[in-house]
Amino acid sequence: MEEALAALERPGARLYAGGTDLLIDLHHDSPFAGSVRELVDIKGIAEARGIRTASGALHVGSLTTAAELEGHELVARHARALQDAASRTSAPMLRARGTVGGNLLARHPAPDMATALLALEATVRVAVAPQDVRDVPVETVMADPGVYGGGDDRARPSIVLGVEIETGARSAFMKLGTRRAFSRARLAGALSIRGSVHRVVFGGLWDRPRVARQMSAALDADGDPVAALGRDLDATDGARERLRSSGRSARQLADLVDALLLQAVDRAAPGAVEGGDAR
Amino acid sequence: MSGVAASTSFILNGEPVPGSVSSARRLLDVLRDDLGLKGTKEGCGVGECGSCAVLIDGEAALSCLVLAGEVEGRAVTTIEATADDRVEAMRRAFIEEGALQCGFCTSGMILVASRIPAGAGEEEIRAALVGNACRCSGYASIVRAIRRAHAAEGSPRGVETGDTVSVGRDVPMIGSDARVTGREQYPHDLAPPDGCLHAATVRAPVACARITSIDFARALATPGVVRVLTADDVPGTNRFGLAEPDQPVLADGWIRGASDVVALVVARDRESARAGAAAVELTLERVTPVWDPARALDETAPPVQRDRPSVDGRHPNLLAERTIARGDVEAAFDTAHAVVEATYRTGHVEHAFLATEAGLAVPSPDGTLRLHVSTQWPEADLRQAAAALGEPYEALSIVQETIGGAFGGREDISLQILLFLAARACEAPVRMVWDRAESIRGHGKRHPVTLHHRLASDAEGRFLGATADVLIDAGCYASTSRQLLDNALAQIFGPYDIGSVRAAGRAVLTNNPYACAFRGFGVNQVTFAMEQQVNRLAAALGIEPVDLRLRNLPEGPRVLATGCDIAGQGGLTRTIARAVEEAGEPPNPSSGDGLVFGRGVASAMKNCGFGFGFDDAATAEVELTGSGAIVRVGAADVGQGIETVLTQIAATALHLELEAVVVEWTDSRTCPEAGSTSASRQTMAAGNAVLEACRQLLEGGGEEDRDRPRSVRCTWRFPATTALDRGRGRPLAAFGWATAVADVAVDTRSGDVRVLRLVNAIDAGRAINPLLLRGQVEGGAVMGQGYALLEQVPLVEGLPARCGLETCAVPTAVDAVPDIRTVVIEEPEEIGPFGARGVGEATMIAVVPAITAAIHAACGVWIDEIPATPERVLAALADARG
Repeated sequence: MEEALAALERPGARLYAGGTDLLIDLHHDSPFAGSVRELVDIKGIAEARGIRTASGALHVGSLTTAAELEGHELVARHARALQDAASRTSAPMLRARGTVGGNLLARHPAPDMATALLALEATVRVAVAPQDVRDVPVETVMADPGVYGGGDDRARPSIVLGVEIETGARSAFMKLGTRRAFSRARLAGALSIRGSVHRVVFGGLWDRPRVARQMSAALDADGDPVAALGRDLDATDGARERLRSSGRSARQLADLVDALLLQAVDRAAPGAVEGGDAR
Repeated sequence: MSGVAASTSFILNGEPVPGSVSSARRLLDVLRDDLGLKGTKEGCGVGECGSCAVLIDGEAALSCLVLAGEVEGRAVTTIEATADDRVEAMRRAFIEEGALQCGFCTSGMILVASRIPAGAGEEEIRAALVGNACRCSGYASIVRAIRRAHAAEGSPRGVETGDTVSVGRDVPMIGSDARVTGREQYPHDLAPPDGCLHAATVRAPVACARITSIDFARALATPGVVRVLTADDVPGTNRFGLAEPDQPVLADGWIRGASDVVALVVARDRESARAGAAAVELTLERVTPVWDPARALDETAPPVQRDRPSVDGRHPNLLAERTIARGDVEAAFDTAHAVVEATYRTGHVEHAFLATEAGLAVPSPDGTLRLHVSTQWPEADLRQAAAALGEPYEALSIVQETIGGAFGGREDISLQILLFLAARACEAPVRMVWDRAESIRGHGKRHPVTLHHRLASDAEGRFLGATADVLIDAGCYASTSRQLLDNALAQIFGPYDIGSVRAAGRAVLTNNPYACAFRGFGVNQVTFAMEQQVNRLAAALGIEPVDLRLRNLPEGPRVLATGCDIAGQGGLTRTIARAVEEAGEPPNPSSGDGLVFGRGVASAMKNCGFGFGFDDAATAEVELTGSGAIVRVGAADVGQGIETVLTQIAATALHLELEAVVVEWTDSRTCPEAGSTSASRQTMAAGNAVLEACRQLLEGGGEEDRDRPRSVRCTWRFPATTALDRGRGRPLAAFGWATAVADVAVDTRSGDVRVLRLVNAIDAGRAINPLLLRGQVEGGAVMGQGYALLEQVPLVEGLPARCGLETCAVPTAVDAVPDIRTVVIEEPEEIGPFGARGVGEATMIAVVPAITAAIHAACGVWIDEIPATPERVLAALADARG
């Protein structure tokens, strides 16, 4: 980690993990490609690997691939939305490469795993120096991925080491794409329920996934979720327009949340199991 | 790169890679360019197609998304490997099941398939293949091949030694061995000759503008760049076009659409050419665009092509207009018991052949130019290139490399003239390969159509009258849109007997991508509308859709509703009966949970051959060598297997074993013209030319005379056809016939439509090769399914947005219907070789209205705009609820 952080200090250095976005950008002359002079491969960083539970939380290393999440018992038990999202991400060969960290930092309106992590209210562990590892709310990281992704707009070099999800939530994820599989989400929804607290997240309505706060609160209070969703949509410019361009109505979005609720509630209450990698 | 050496070494196909290779390059580039293993293909470069799949330590991986440094010390297996039993078993199974057509996806497909666990079920197999795109097969044969390999059983296909009747037999495609071992050579795979230069295009960031200036000083100063070519450097007319020369080779003053190329940068390597292209500075002046075809003829609409003259005072954006009128339409509607009326819409669709455009032009010492490329119609390319560049026709020639799919999209010029131009200007070999994004931008799309349709009947369902108003978006250039309009109008009311009809059609220019040939050539759009009308009427009258069709399909030679003489309708009514029979019991209407089920049926006709007075011919030369025969005929094998079919025809006609016959089709200098591989014409045109040549060779001689070396050249022509002349004459010479039955499940909560079963019954006249025919039927069925439910090119101001296979929603193995049933009817075609008729297009046309009819049967709504996306289904359901 120390070596990687030092390397990222060099001009033109770019963090490299799964590479599923980066290599495409580099090969196809994206605007930033010309500024990249060095790739810093972080796949050897032990702190960014593994899936385990400890202290009432599920820890997922940022280098964990979608394929690893797909079949993992601990993820199934404590973060079903994340597992749902991982299993619906792209195609098998890409799932074997694409990482949680990469998806979290992807500049896309509805990255699958990131949408689920936002609903699960994950905390992101970020190393900014070998002795300076910070826990940052997932919303903060997603609001400004360049800062945390070792990109050109980073304030200082940093490496996302992993995410931490408090256990005890029921959750679900769904997405709507152009095809049945291997499709970018045009619209994605994720939901978590902790006790009586709901957290609804939509991807595809804004530049990045966001929490539908009014709707979440309405579900907590047994209020009118559709009306609340309307307020969420009106709270920011462009959300209704994007919803319209996706061909969906607010009513249909609410139906999506109904389906998520059904799916999440149907699932057995997660147990509080402590332990190491259960794979 | 941290932790990785600047160079790397690994085990490749069981052997250490000699020396070391750069670790910071994509594994794909190292394999193809440094190590010369061309079997690993690049179909997209973004992980969407799977053509580049290899095995790394036995696991399937995308070599376009792995750096060579990451395989340091690991074992990499490519399609060229000879010691992997699972790969070898898969190779044999793919050949036996006909699970390969163009072959471009085959390397990656076989490697991924080889790691699917034995015993995997249908769903598991399809899920494992979801990242491997195949545009030809529809995936069904691939799934069968995997099962065959897992079962390690099944008898070999082919023709036994000594058998000289190969017509009608399941002969694996010629070239299969090369395709399954990565030896087949596509234009991308050619080794650049010494001194080879590389070209890259400069395109505008907009689809509509006036070019104020092109400054290429910085491009010329880019290291490695040797030439920048603009319109000023084009010595001929600088115009090309399949039917009308209205497209500039290099833009001269105006940007009219996505495909326009402003300049061509030639450099010593591909990277320098791309860097040079990026350095060209364009100054553009925005001009008012025309995006909406419905507004293209408004007085205020600017002309898309400023140099196109107005004809008869009409708007210059009016490319073509046709009307057909027969009988007394008003009286028919006045006396009708029932009338159905609707407006149908279809959109732009991408061909998505797996191999992008690529080519290599090489100057010869005699001053001529040779172009290695993939094309559907080499002579048409050469004629256009000669005129555009001011070259004598004889100075140019084409060598066809293996064609990685076409579907109509390689009938128009893409990079051919650019490469001839660059090679002539630089007097050096020049190579160019387009990536997926440029491929989607650079060639045409399926025609978007808006069609208003009315159909009237009496109480018993006898059709009395019909009208149709058709508006076709031709995009920014003419291509073959006039011809497509004729083709669509001639078949607009299908095979049905309707006393009074009126059809009016217009093709208009817009600044959208130019529209071109695409499997079905306009018949898909009008058949979707007509068949939906028939199904609508059946629902309105309470008559079974099949019965309604049969009531309106008189047998025998007759005149279509549009006034076109036809010799008969082949086995159409048999396709209806057999399709329904094969479909079995319809699904239960509902399973609860918002899922509803339905069945739909639709029929289709599709012309074989161009028609409309075109001199539609093919010439073949057959040479008896003493030990066998060589057939020379310039019929492009686009993956459908025409080389195999012609070999079977010649072998059977000459009473030879298959192995004794060689078909040569790739060299325009030595292979006589066979015309385009399109319009479902090549089996009939080239097949008849070959058959006739064989017959002439054997005329008057005995069996022993076969050993005397000699040759014969024959030209075969489709029967003469007439122009589309207001509903008279014989504009089309022959037809294929089909009926599809679709079973779907509709999720009324999400709008999602899943096709559960598709029966595709085709009248092939005679199945020359049932194995290959089945591949055409299944591939066409899934292409039809994609057209019905998924596919559409998203455009932003005339430019394809985020160009990729995913964006264009090309079906994956998971999307494709799992249960496809092929029914082949053999009602001999009078003018077909051995009775065969062309079926390449008919296979997809009926599928679309069958699926939309099934949606209606399931949930009670008619989807009149395709694709029937979940959003459209939900909107229709909401409308129905009021």
